[in-house]
Amino acid sequence: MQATRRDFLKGSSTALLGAALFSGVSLPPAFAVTPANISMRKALNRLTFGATQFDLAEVEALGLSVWLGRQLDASFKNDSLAGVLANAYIPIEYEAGKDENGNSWAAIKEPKRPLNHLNAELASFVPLTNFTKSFEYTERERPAKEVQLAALIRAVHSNNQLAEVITQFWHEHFSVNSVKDATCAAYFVQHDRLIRDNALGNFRVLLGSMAKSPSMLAYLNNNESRASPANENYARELFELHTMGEAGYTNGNYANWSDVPGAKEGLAQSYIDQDVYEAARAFTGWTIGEGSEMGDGDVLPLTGEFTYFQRWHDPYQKRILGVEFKPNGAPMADGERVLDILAKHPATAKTIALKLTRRLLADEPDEALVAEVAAAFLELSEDPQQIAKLVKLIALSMQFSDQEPTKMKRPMEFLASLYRATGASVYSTGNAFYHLQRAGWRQHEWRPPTGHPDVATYWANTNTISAMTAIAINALEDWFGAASIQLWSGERGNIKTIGQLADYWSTQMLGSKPDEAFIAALADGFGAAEDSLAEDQGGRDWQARTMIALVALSPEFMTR
Amino acid sequence: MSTSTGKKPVLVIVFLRGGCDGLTLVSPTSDANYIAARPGALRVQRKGDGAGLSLNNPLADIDFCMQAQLKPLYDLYNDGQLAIVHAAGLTHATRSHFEAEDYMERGTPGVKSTRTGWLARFMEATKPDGILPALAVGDAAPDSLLGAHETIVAQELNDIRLASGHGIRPVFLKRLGDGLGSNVLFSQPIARLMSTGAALEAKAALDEEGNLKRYLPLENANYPENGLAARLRTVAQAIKLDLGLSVSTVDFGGWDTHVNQNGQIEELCNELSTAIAAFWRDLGSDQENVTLVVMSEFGRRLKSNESGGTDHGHGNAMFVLGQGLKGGQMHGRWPGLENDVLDAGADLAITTDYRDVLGEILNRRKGIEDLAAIFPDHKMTAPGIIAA
Repeated sequence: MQATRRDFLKGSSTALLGAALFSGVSLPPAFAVTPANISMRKALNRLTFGATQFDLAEVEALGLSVWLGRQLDASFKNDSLAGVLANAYIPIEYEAGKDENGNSWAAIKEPKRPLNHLNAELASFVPLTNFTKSFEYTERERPAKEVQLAALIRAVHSNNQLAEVITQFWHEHFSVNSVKDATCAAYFVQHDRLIRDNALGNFRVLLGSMAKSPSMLAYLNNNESRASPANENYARELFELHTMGEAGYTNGNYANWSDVPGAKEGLAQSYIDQDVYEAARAFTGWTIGEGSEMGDGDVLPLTGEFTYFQRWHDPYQKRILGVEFKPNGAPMADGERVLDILAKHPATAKTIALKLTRRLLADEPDEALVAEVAAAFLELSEDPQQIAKLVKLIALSMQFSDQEPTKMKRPMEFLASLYRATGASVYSTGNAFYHLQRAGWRQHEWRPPTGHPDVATYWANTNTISAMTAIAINALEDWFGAASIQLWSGERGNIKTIGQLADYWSTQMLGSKPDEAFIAALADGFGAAEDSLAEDQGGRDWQARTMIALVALSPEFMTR
Repeated sequence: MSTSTGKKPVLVIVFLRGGCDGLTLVSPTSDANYIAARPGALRVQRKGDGAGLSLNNPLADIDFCMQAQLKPLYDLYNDGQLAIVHAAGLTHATRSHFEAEDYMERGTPGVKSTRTGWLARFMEATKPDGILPALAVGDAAPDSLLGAHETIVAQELNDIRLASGHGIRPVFLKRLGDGLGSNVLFSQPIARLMSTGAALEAKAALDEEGNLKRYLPLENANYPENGLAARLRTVAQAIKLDLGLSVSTVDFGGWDTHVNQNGQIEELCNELSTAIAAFWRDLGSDQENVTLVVMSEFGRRLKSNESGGTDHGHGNAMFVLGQGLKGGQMHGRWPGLENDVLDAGADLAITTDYRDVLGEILNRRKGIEDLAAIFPDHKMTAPGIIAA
């Protein structure tokens, strides 16, 4: 594996990659050479928000390697998604009112307001954070809510499924609670764009865009950080959550920077609080251009973008991870250099490798694969497609094809995969986000900066499982108000018995027919014969929805 | 161990996530170093609007005040039901939220690989029977309950009843039992939901729609409209349904006040104190069975930052609420705030290991003799919070 990995890293075309990987005699059969529906389904359930019949046919026709190449190609067309987003809406309604600043607003009732903010210019978000302007608070949070719904819609409807999965991964990694305050909310459309633009690109570029994302600056308070003492919030989470990780933090072991192994040789292997303090100084003055008056006649630009305010910066010499920073560096040079060091640090490579393989593979992924991905992360550190290549490395590894589906779907993945497997179409928020929240999933509203946990030891609890049961039962009901489903269109119109109903949905969702005992229990529950179906439309719909929920609540559907 | 009413003693842990500023909650208002380290807006004042509430029986010869919004807890202190331990916490040097929580809730500072939480080991040691021995109110169980498979996690008790109100609920229960019940990921929570749900139905009344009847607190409880109050109300409901509750955990986040601490902390203190006071009133005669602890992963930096907030610190205050405590007093030892006694030159030092506070409660209220089974490799020193 080690020998072919280097070829793979250098290769640029998917054909070459496939050839390099599959020519080795020591490799086990991969999906591309031995297509079997179950392996494909397994792979797709990890690389998408849930396998559909359409994806299965596509990946079987193309082979996994070519399919991956297509999914990772940034120019891949995705026209149908734009239509779904354009037709989506979130109701908005509030009374006329006024706030403590004397601003007032008229009553609004728009049951079908579209997602207008999604494509808006950056400058249009600036007024939403200005409390001298008149806005009912719901309007200030609106951009965040639109991104939340768009995330569900994209998870269900995007053809760029792998990009969606990785985008969600980075949203968790660079987690921002989008409704923490009006600033986080207003600029969250931009935050999402920055992640989407770089999700499969280069980590250093992504890291830099996150350091300057207005939502991130506000969420971790760096927008208010000035000398001195600097605000440590961003710097601490930059080390712990965005780069070197908790495993790279050794404050309990070393009291002074010079005690940390590697520090005196030029690069510390791990970090301690002194590095956090110094890095916080490096980022002083990194803030948001919102036209703020800074005193002495200085006014920040009114752009809604990152800006640097020199007078807030602590210009003197710093020492971070044993690296000396000279005093009075160029504007932003201190912070950029911290990002440079961290983006190429071995501890960062380990953190990202572990998290990415954990996401795509298993809660406790194979250590050899993690080490291989970490090595590739460093080798590819200058590559503009660094992340895409890491994803491909994981997806084409033998550990990936060998891995049984032991990961529990998290609530968002469960709901999205339910909609995908049934061909449902998402049109609004409805009760979806309420129910996800009951299950413990807060899309873009996770409060601590860790992002949602990614291991079943967290999720396999009574609350989440009970709430996921409620989601399965309710997600396709009209009152849920999030998605519509055609229960009887096309081939579904041929379903005439409870037995056929069970066969059809079980095959759609799991790839295999249910056993007789299941059908018998179902018919018994319906109080009807297996070769019958309710005569009235309402009864038939209820039977179909119940059927789908029962299939969804199986371990085969709840794991990936 | 049971109390005079024959009920089991209940331990409720309220965890303030984010690192609460113990130097505001219980503030050394007259300490010269405290005054020097923070601007007026980030200090509890002794006079004027929003002045702190001066505590009787302070730890040292300085004026300690509770933040003004903690008035309901201050009243419980003066009533002898609330004890304060100051300069307490996790002795490990970490200033990471997540690492500190890992260590604290596992009960093994410096050791992250511990596979069980301290409350889980307590459950293992006592093996409480009953319908609902451990209840984590919220989205998921905290790490203190890591490995305690009897734990029920719920936002409301009705959530324990799978497919509540569904027309063919029995089919769902059978399907979930057959399908998920034999899967390694789901078997334990499903088994727990099945058995607890059934027992709950036998014990509590259902409404016409097949859901658990809405809980009616005592009339004078007056729960405020906030998240902590809603969660504590669920704990009160479980206690009064007499389900054999032994431990319950409740999380309360938002204490990571790096900016605008002055504005945030008033609201946080208000929610904390009004919710706990309402819960306490609601318990009525059950108060004697319940001990409630308020704790956080660490305190905050003595010296404030330049953005109106405080960064991650070390030592902190803990609250213990219950009957039969040495309440109305501060416990522990005040280390002072001179530069050379601060932890790492920056933060309130720790003179009471948080495990000693929890250990004394487990020993005296729960009858745990072998505390080494709960907190391994720790030499216990009871701080003397509970009356002889």
